Amino acid sequence: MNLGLTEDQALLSDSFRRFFEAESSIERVRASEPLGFDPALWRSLGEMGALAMRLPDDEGLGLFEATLVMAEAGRHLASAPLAEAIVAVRLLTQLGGDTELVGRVCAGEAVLTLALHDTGDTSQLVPGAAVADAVLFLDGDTVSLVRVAGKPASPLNHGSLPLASLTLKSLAREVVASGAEARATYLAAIEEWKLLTAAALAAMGRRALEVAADYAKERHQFGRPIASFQAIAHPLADRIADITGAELLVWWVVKQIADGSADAAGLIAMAYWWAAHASAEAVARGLHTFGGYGLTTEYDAQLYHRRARATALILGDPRDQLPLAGRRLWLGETAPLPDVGDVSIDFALGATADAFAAETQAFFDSALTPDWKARAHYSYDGHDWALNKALGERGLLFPLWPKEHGGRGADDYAAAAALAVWDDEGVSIHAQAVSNMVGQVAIRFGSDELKRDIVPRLARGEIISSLGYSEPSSGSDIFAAETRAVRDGDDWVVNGQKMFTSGANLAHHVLLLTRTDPDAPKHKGITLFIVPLEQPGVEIHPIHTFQDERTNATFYSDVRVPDSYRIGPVNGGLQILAWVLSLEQGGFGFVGPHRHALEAALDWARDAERGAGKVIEDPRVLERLAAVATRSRVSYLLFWRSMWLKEEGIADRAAGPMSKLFSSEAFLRDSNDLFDLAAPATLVRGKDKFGRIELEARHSAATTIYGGTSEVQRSQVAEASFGLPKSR
Amino acid sequence: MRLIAEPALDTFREECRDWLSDNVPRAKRPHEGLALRDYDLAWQRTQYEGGWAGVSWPAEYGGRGLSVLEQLIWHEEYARAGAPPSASMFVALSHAGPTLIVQGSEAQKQRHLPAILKGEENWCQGFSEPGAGSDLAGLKTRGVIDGDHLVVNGTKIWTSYAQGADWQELLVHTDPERPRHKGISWIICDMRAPGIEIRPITAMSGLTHFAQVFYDDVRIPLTNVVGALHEGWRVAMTTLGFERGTGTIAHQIELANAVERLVERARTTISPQSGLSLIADDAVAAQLAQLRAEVAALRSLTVASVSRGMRETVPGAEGNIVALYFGELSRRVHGAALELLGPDALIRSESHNLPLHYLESFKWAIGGGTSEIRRNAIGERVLGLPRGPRAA
Repeated sequence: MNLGLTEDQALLSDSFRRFFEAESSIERVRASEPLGFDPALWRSLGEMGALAMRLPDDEGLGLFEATLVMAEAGRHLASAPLAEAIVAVRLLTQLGGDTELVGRVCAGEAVLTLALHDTGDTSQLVPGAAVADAVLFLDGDTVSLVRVAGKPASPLNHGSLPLASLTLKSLAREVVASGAEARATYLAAIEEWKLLTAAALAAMGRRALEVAADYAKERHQFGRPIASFQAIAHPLADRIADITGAELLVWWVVKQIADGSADAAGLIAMAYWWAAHASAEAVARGLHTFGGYGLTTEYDAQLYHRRARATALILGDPRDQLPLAGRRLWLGETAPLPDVGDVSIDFALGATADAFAAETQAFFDSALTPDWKARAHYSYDGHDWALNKALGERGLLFPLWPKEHGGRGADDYAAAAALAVWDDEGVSIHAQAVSNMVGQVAIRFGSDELKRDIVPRLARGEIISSLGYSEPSSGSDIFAAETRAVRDGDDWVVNGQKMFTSGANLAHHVLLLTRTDPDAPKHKGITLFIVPLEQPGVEIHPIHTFQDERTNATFYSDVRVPDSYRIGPVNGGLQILAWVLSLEQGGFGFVGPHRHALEAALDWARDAERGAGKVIEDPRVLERLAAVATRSRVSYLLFWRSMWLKEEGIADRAAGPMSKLFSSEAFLRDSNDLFDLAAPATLVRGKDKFGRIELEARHSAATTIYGGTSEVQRSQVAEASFGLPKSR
Repeated sequence: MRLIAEPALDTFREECRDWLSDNVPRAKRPHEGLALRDYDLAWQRTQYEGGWAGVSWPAEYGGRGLSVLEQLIWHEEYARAGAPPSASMFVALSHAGPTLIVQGSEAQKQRHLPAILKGEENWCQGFSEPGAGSDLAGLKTRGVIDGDHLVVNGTKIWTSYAQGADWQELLVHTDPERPRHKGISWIICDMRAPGIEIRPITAMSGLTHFAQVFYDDVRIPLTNVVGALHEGWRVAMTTLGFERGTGTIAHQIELANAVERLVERARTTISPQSGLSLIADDAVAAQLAQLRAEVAALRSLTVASVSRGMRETVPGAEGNIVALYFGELSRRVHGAALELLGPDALIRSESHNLPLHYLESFKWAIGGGTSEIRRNAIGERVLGLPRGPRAA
């Protein structure tokens, strides 16, 4: 996996950022209104080589590099039909058109654009046409060029874009090329335009949020910065997650095209919709954050807002891209794709990870019977001791652990790849996830005695762990824990109660968060222990959840724990928990179930009849399925990004919480939407198709709560992404 | 909702409809400026002469003395007839007037209420300040007692239609000894008094209805204090209650009309892709149906709120529910118009200006209390949740 830019790409991106800072300052953007075209910027873009960027020759750059430039253009609201010109120049050259015109456009001396729709008979709004010297358009199998004599008037419009309404077939035209191949080349150019525009939209959204966050830090009401109100900070966190997803989705799609993925055409439509949707939400939130000032022309929030909305809508209703994506992904509709060139980024987990996943898969293929799968449950309730020990014997339980402790010394990619197999096979990962974490804590912070007592047995699959953080009155406020541990000779004596101690009925021990100094500030008096659950004084009471899952309340009365079972220094629990948090990778636990729910719904939609056809042929159904598929993909991308940042050692405190927030919220929303979509069949419980959707809809309700509620995640994202103060 | 289906109310509704169909002005309404003011005042006078001004205002001050239900029916018929939006008369009719009716002295009522109904004066609002928006109680404009006058210094912002206004409902801090909302007074400010300066603000829609108003030693007689001195916060909350409750009725009906226009356009606009009307697309039809259902739900909320209001003289916190929903729905309705109707909807012209309506729709989730402030009020005063964290 590699989500970083090469040196050349970083240089390209930086130089265009500096370029647009100088040549597309907010003052210049404002001065170009209402036409939305800055002739001096256009000439400079020519000098920078931006317009020739995608010429189909050795000088041209790949589409990935072009999206980097478009992101900078979007961020700075460049007043120029840049995406249109980039693809039009490439298209005209590919079709052997007027090289003299191409030369002048590349030099920034002329403007070339293209019509987005194949509807030559009626008038259509053409982006950039109000300042264009020539317009390309498609009419059946014929690509033509119209030279615009005198600039057509640009109607006053929402985004102050240089649009013009043209009835192209009524104008004198030169035929550039004809035939199926010419048509395909044109349509591929439109697909490329969508990706370039999506990159610009995401960047506009990001910038609008940054500007709003800066304002929220400065603006005081009720004697404090408004950013310290969750009502202000939390929506910004949701929106930056959407935007980060939009950026990654564009990259992902470019890579999919390069890899020749059969899904690539559908994914382009998905990426365009998501960028339009995410940027619309972002700029609207930006505007609202400014209160009344956001509505005034004096402030910049409205500029981002108007430009982003108009840029997205010039193609038509962005939601039309969803049924289109659905037809391409699931009904066999095809579309010509642009040649994207070399793509350096890589989302693959790698050969080592694949091999480890294959080993895991081979084991499950031999071990799991259909009967076993019918009984499986994703929670601790699905825990199978024989299977756990068999995994342990083969070293398949804890790939991240060092070899001397029974692991494989593997990286996060291998672990993620293997656990995805567990999830797909219906093998519960709850016990693995908790034991994996507790084992790592013991290996790093535990005494020799503790390590000797629990680590080898965990690795062999003979015992599992459980977690004791939450209490009846301390959930999100984790450091308010009241369970006491008091030193007594070589032991500690524990008294108190924990809530949601899932797996305690199966586990050998609990990682217990206790208060050891009641007089210190609440987060400075916390110490962690490994408490064996068979110790006298431990009581475990079952609690049953609406997920068909058993969890527990655990009670501790004068439970003695040896000091050698203490984790980290006395009153040093905060640091240990911070380290534990750094192990977390955000939304790993939800990407699989989210996708399973989608796949079950797709099976249903392909199978069920409605009217004359299958349900999946209904555009409304396609629209909803495609929206779910988009969020499912964004969940994966945010998770992968979080994992990649961790592997690379790049500090980003927002990444894990952002992944957890987005994927759990998307899972909750989508599994419930699918529950509705396939109703009433989904009402029946079970493991197959519909039952799967029902199960995941219930499962999802827990995911926005455990592992830190969405509210806790939003605060972390807002603080780490924008430097906002702590919010309440 | 049996109440509004009573036969007597049906007769009333017919009377409204008849009179409106004969009298709604056909001349195009100016967008801005003093021409707009003159137009609005003339139309108000016409309504007064026809016996339709102040349907629910007391008869002794020139109103009809009917209930809020008749007022609601009047607003509905008014909007259905395509009558001009209340615009520059909004503060006088929906804020200042109702506040004076409840809180004003007899002299204040006699002086202003008939004049408002007759179209002889219009009002603007002076509540928000550059540093006091959601935190209205943090306002800094000072009023210092000097004999039988208050001397006002400071500035107010987001004052709509300030240029054409005769009077202003103005909040000033009058007691430096008492913090925040305990030292505020609600006063009637003569907008022609010396020391007042008005600077227009251009909104992103291009309109200049907003202004910032500056006060430099403006002298206002103490007899213009409404309620008691330093008791203005209570008075202001009443006013905001009107704004958050029934005050948006006229705008709600305009919103319902916007949905109907959108449905009509979706019928008559041909999709370049399918060659059929837009509404033939099930997804479009479903979205329009949802919007229509939502404006209907909004109307029901309002009627319920009105019916509750008939048992209370002062509006309750439930009005926040209406205002919150209205603010959020406005943006969705006008946003949907921009998306559904294709790229042509981006164009701004005299005959259709969807971007203008869209850009203007954002203010409903900000002005008169942001959605966040309204949610707090609903949480605390309707659901009984504790107060959220406020002043540090």
